[in-house]
Amino acid sequence: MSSNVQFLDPRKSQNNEIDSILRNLMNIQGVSAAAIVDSDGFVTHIHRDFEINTDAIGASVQVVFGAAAKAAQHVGHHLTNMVICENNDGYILSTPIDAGFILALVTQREALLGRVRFELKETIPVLKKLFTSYLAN
Amino acid sequence: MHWFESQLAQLDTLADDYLSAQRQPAADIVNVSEVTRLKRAAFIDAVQALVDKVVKIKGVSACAAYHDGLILAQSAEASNMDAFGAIIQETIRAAQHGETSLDLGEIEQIVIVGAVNKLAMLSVGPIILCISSPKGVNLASVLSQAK
Amino acid sequence: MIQNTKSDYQIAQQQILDGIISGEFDIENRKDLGPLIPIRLFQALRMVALGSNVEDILGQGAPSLVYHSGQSLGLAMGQIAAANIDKDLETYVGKIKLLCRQLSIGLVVPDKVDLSAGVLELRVDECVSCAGIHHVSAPICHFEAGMVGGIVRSFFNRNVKATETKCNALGDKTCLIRVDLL
Repeated sequence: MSSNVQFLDPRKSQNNEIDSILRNLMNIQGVSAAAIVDSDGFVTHIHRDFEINTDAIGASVQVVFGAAAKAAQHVGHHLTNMVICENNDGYILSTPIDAGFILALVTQREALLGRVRFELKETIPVLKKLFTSYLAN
Repeated sequence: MHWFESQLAQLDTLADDYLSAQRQPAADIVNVSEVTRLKRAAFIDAVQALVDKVVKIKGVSACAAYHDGLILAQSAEASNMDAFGAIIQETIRAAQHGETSLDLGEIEQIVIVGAVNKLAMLSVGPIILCISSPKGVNLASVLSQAK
Repeated sequence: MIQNTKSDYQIAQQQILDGIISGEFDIENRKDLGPLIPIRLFQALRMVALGSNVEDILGQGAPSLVYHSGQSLGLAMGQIAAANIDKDLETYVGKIKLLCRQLSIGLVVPDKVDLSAGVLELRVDECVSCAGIHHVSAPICHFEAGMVGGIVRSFFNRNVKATETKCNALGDKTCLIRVDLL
């Protein structure tokens, strides 16, 4: 198991950009929550337009992503880039960032999956760099 | 250059701008991130705007944009949008085999004509723009004459 | 007819917590063996069943599940300790220390309490999870971190983030848990 020692200092400049990225994701049609979850399942950043039990969703996102990534390893698929959970009323998409952090998006059913997925795929490399410089400084 | 060509050219420019922004050195990651995000938003907004315009053209029955076979922008809720996505993926993949073996070069357009309807797929940056119409409609003509 | 919506695990959990609340540690059906178990059995459950086995299935999701489990226990313990103390922090800490000792979780010692900065650090000496474990590469007491987080959260009624910054299994001689009030 990895260390859970990762402090996120809200004063760092990267934090504003991370917030902007989440706000931007929230502007996509049908997206109702965008969150970053640390390796302990703790929600470090969140934008949402409905009430969420952040503890529960954070832990669940980590558990679901972890289980999916393990399943992928078992069938020789190596690294997991995204987990998409298709539900009756929408989707939950989760993508790894760095050091166990995960970006999770919750959408309504009317969200355009390709639009959300495209935005996530394009956002992740930037978030990775932001987190690398964030955690290094 | 007719209307639709100019629209595609504009999209291509926006897609190129976005790709250039992505390639910027990451020394100042915060600013690079913001610029890239804005360029991406400009491109996607333009894709959605074009989809909205194209579907209003007489003779066009549906228009949507896809990324990796998943819908990215659509004109209106339609039941067969996922099927379009699947067809696009299959078709593009098949066509890509011809890129090198037939020396076609990078795939720009694919048109499938059925007995009833037809489907045009156009590659624009990272996305595929998909337009369908009844078989009898001359798509090139209606798209070129639109304003 | 009343419908029972609780799962069997939830029913068992309720009975265990009721037993803790009552302060009565004798237990039925253990006439000869009594209420205590060897620490290695607890550690097998914690580090194998709720550790490496969970990790085999959940990968990087394992620590978060363990933390969340600890937090649930911490919240329950907090409720027990907060009863009839009129929000007095010293009394609360005293009751928590006693409870942790009674349950042999460890010897809880507040190391630093800086409420203006929103930071608390609690030491867990003789931590039940990692006593006798060595040569790990990172803190392993996610359960205790979650538990302490739950205890603190229960008192302050605020979101918290608990992080184990020192671990006996790393050679630190104690486990230190930093709690940030958010």
